[in-house]
Amino acid sequence: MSETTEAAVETHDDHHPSDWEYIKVAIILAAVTAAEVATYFESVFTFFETRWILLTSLFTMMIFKGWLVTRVFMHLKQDKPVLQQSFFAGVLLATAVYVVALLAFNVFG
Amino acid sequence: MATATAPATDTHHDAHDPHATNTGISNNKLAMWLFLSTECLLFGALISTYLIYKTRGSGEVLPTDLFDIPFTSVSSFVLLMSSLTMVLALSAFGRNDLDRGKAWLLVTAMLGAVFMGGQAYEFTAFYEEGLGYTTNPAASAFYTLTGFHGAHVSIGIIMLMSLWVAANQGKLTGKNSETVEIVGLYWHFVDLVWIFIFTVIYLIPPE
Repeated sequence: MSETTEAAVETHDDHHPSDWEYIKVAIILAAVTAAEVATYFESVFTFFETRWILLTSLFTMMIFKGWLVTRVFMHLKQDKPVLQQSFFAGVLLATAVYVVALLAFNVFG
Repeated sequence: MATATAPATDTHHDAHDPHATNTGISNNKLAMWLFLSTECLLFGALISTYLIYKTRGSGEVLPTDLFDIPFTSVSSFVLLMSSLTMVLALSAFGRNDLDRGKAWLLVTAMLGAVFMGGQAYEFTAFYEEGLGYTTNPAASAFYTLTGFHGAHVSIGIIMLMSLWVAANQGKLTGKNSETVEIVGLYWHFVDLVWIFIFTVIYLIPPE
């Protein structure tokens, strides 16, 4: 085994969450989804005075859910940083490319 | 290389034992992560296309007119819970608890099938309301996006059932639980994409 590999292995945190921790995360995800869906109903929708606040809230909840899934269910929290870097390189590239494309098509008004 | 040659007393950790690669990660796992990274670009393109075309269809029915949010919310919840059952399957295989692992795999595949049933119902309902694939650009973009996602879920179900069959034949045990982990990564990614689609396509109200 090369020194590089050994160093990588030594820094690898191999602790995976317990089943109960997974269940707790799933409960949080379900609760956030319920909050997202609640914005669809008029009584809650009118709580958001402007569209801007509604969009910010929905995007925040969406990103939080995605962060939980990748960190806990996909084990990015425990796995080696190179996996996280590989994945988020694609996420960031896609975000940058398509935000520019949407701006070019004047989608944001 | 003491760690790699030590007897595997804890099969849960076998999937994460050092591999004879420069990164110390199995090539299969790294390949799956890189594949998922490229999938972000595919779904980014499909979502962007829908956002560009979602209002193109003046005088005709649009997908946003037909969305049944309570129904889609239940489908979303089902897919979200399938991510939980997937990770419980991996956990069980890691403990070499094969019976429970097989059961969770089967439950995950069934939840995926329920989600696909929901999508088939939604597509049928939309078609009966007059929204065909070529009715307008918005409809084409909507069916292409959700259809591609559905195809990914279907492939995931096939992979899950393949794992279940392999486990029943004794070919999948705690020692090679990394296979379950790799399929799990794909499944969680499909869920991740739906989290994004559900918010951006369904929940954000039209102006």
